[in-house]
Amino acid sequence: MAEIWCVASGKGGVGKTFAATGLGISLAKLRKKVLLVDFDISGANLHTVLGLRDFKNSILDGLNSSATGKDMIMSSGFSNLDFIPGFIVPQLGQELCTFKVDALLQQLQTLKYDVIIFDLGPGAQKANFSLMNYADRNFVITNCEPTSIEKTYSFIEQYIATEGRTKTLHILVNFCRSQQHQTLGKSFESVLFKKHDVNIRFSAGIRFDNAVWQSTFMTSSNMQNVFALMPYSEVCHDFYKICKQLIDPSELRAVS
Amino acid sequence: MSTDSKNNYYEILEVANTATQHEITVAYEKAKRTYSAQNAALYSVFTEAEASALRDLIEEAYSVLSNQNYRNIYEKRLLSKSYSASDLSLDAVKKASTELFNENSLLTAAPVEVTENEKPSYEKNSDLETEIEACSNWDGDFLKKVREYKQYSLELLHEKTKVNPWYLSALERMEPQNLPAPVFVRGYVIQFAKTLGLNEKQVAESYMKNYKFKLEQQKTK
Repeated sequence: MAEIWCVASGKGGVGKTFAATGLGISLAKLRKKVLLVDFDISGANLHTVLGLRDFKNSILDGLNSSATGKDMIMSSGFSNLDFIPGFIVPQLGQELCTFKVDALLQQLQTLKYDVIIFDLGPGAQKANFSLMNYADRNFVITNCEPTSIEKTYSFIEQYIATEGRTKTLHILVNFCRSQQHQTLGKSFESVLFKKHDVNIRFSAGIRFDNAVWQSTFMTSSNMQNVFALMPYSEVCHDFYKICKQLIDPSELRAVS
Repeated sequence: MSTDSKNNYYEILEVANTATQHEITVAYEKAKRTYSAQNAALYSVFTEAEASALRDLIEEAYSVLSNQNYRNIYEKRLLSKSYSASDLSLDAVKKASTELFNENSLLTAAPVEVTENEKPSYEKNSDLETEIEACSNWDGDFLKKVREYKQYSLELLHEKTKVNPWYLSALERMEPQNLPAPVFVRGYVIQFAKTLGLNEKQVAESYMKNYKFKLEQQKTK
């Protein structure tokens, strides 16, 4: 059985998709077989972050049962890492998402992946919450800004109110520019525990890195992910560290 | 968990009951940082008043858990469960601790109290008194003679003058090799003479003359 990780956030634009690919690529480099699935129904762009453009099928075909899991899966360009593209055209009927997820997941589980990562859309929506219920780990991505912090709290509050406290929640603080930002995750843990009695299990900071900006500063013909362009940058290091801690905190692993 | 209800101090600092002193200190530092007014993570969850109430609670928790005596009392009360919330507050624990201390101190002998201005009594000897009056050449031997006459032990003199007894006896034997620089020795002599009720200026001047003579002698040897 593959472990399912969900990447969600209360606010858009905090780096959800970037974090999903970051986790996926890091796990793949740690010799796990990983599948990235773009579940962002408000506008998919996982393929852009990975630097891919042309694809035939999308997750929509899988949900409509017009294509099998195997047909949708594409190689991402990284070894051990595959991905399923999302809707290219934003779909209005958001209940679609819960439509045939069960059937689709059953298919994907037969494909011998170690980890399947869902990249969700932003905000506290029913579609996102129901997908989070399939997951073994849920990552909530946030920024260090008050707008993002407020939305993160309301996101987690609503999630608990509708789905309960049973699921594992993790917090990743993106765009950390200072030591204070790095410890923000720990503060979230304490605040959520005191206020809502929520156990956050794990939190980490991801440093702000110009390497990410540099990697987007390329012409569309040779677009590359930061992990391909600058694999030894600070931001990549942070993702490797998070994955190592989550897979097996006691074991020191080399990144291949 | 809400801010107004009184919680277990361990829960406030988010440590286990078995936490070591070091762990408690680390947790306290972390909690203090987390609930400082500057922390962005509090935004929209805790108001400033709530945060400051939490900070007070954290301080209270740390003052109980960081003190081993308080912590023992607190833990005993926590485990027995027969105590009310007010018995588990910092003030109650503090009070219990002082009570416990007083109780224990009754069992041991009362400490000997030494009053500050106490002077040992001695029998007046008019011959010696006049000799002291007339003395213009002070040296270690004579200082010792006066000290013994006035019933001061070296320890008592040390208590009064705050000068190391080793130095005091070296003063009496006039041993420059066991004493610091002359300027300090002069200070010691002044304290010595003052305590014995002598004219410290005269004594110091005369003693230092003898002392410096001895110092020169030793250098030429």
